[in-house]
Amino acid sequence: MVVASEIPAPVDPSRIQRRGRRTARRVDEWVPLVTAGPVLVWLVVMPIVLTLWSSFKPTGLVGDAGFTTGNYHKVYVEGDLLGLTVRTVVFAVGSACLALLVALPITWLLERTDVMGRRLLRGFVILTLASPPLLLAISWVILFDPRIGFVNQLWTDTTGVDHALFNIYSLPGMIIVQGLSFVPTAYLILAPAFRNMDPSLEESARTSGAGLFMMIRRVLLPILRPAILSSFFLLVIVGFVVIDVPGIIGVPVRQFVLSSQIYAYLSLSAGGLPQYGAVGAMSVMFIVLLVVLGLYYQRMTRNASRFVTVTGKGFRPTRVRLGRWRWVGSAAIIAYIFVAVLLPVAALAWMSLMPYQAGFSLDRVKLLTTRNFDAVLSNPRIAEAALNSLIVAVLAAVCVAVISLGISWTVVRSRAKGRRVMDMLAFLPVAIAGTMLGSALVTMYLVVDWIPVYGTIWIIVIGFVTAYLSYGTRALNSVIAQLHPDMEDAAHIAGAGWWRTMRKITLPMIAPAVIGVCVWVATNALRDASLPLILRGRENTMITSLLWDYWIGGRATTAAAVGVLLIGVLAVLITVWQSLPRRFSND
Amino acid sequence: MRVLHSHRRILSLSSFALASLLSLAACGAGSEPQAVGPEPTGPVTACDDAALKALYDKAKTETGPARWYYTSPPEQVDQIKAAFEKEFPEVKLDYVQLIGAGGVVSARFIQESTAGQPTADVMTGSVEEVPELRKRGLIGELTASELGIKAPALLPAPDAVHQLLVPGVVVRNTTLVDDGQVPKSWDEMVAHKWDRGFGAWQFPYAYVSLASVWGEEKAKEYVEKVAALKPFLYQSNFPLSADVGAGKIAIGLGKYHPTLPTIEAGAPVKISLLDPVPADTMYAYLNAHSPRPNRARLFLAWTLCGSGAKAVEDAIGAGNDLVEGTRTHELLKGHKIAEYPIKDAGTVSKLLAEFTPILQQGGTPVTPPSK
Repeated sequence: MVVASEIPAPVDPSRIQRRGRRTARRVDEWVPLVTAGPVLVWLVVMPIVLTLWSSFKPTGLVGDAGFTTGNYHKVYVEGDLLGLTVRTVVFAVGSACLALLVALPITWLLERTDVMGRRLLRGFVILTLASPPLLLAISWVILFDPRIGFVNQLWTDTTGVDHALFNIYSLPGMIIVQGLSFVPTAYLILAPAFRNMDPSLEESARTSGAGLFMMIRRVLLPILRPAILSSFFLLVIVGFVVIDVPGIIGVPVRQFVLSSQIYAYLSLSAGGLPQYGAVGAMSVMFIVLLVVLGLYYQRMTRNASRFVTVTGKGFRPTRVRLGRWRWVGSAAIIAYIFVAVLLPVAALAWMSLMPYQAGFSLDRVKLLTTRNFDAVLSNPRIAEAALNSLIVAVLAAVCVAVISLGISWTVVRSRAKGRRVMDMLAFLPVAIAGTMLGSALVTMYLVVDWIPVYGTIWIIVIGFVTAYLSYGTRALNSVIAQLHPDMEDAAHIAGAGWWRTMRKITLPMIAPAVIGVCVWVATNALRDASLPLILRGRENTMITSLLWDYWIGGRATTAAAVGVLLIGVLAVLITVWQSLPRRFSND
Repeated sequence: MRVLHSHRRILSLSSFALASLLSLAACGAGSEPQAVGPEPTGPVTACDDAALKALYDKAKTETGPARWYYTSPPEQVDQIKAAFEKEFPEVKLDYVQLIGAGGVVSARFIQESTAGQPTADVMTGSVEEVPELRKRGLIGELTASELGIKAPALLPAPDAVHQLLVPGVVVRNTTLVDDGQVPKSWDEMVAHKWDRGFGAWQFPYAYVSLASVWGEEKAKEYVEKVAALKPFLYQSNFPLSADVGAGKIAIGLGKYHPTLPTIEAGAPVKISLLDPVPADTMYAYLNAHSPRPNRARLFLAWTLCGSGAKAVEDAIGAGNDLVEGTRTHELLKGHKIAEYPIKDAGTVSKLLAEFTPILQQGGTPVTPPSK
């Protein structure tokens, strides 16, 4: 016989549901940290730890015995660190400001107005990404060398003055070249934000009587502040660590910045071993600076919902009609393209057709030759390097996009534990100069030989994923921040699960940004020289390594030929990408 | 300091004496102290074929390609590889290029060796890398008999072979500096304010080598004079020559083989030598723990022989001055060479550390690289 007291009390179904939701919430809070955390620690923290460790070693090699603070004394006391830092700040901030000054109006014109030839002009703006900064720097040297630069020669011949119009071998020269090379990056970061902005805000401003400039100043710029600040900070930080322009233009005239000083410690030390310890010591300053910048950035963008403009309400993006100013807008963009793209490419093309390095002169037209192209096209190493570069670029782009999407979603949208730490960790690699990251990875995978990537293309992929994770997360953070939760809430209310909501609503909205990240990472991986140089082995030579070989080897004409071909191939790829149907295009 | 002789000892001694007298007269008496050093041992006419064959027979029993680390571009080394493998079909050569100056080759070698990873069987580097490699016990001993070399000069130390010599040369643009303006002495080189400026390698290897003849104090003063010219400093001698050819700078102090591509391309560039000629020997070392030491020795020995030495020079431009028939040997005939021997590697390191910041300051207050 069953006794009533033995019958278990019926369970309240609502308690089961609440318990289930609590469990699910706990899982949601911890799963991102448990899955992404170890990846971030391996990719980001380990190289930093090795870098710091090497700074306390007398030889800088982590496996050597001994402990010293001598490297810190060498860098922070003996060297002129203040002068170096001031020059670096001026260079980085100047380049970022110039890039934004140029990119903002271009982005607005291309994304929010009816300027003529948008698709073509957009393609050309992005085309600068096709040229490695190394080649851009060489091109600008050809144009503005104080003695044999084409523009300076034209200036002195025309005016009769005996001094150059502009000496590229200067800090302003470095800022101009670097700033112009940053414009497509700034555009790719800003464009999604411009594109996804609700036009009703602009219409309201116009209805209230605001003119164009007042609308830009009082409505657009405040709304776009997260994207603008995001790109500004990223460009400043990249300006701290980039070495191509400072190496080509600054080093010959001893205009060192922090990044080129690190390169000098690693690759230009006379006698004995490269100064790994000094590099480690200097990297500490980078990391501290970046942590400060990162904290400031996070504080400024914390209230992202204030800037939400992509809402659940339907909107049809409209374009500002420029009227007769359409042509002026197009002309302004064409002028930028001419100065930043066509003129340098023309200089490069000239050099690629010369038998030896020579400035432009009508007398030298008779020397034009295709032998550099013949040598390049018949060289099997070029094809091998090109294939390596393509594979590395694609793999790095996909990995960065996937990992960044996961991290950005967790940081911006979830309530996961440790998301701020994850965001900071994902941001940190930008502070590590490519050459130092490369050195750390060499050490890491020499020791961890059970991951057999040393000397292969995979170590370069890992390096690029680490290096570009910060860009991917910054770009996607701002885009995801602009999406109002209304749409996802509506989907949940309608019964859609997390994955279906993501697949049907969220991913399509942010797809242009994700593709932008992929394109940016791929093109930067194709043009980055620092990591491939340091990580070079027998099987993983990349195009930029070859370009560097040719330049350092005095074969600038061959480097130019490779560069022209590289730009040509990338131009085709970018044109094809631009020609694809744009599901969310305003065109 | 060493003085070169051709294989006809009496004739070359007379030529050398005459050339020295003429050089001294042109340079000005007393501008350079008399060179001191061991007597030269003469060039090698040929290797011991029997020793090479014995090495080849031993090498055939080993596996894997002989791996060589150096700084030359792989495309150039392909020619060396082809020539070596043609002569020794059962031994393959593998090559890794390291980018940079100073100890970048030995740094990678040390890192990989320390980690127990596959690394170079043979590496080529400059003299200042030797102390660190010896300290770590990473380079193996070699004997003249097993390498089949006949002249001790090719094995100046038990663990290093004299593989290449890179002499310093004056590089000028012939449309900007005519024959009458070519400096004929080291003092003339720095006394003239060259229009369009003066170019130099950013590392003071040349002046350190000159210190072996002039003494350290005089060499240091010379570096200061060079720095006062505010030279355009280059990371490598190759773009220095290219810029001279382009007319960006009129004249510079470079190295011999980096000028060859510019000259061969038809640029208006000529080179000349000043006595004493500063030179840097590139030494080749055997990995003490190489899994294929005989293959490594075979490659080393081959690069020191007539055919191998010529193949190397034809491929990369740099040659062995001690091997007859090489362009480097012919170029330096009758000239006085200034260079510290390998036993003074410590002095070279010391002077490099001392001279580098002087040169790189160049009169402009910039951050000097740390010592």
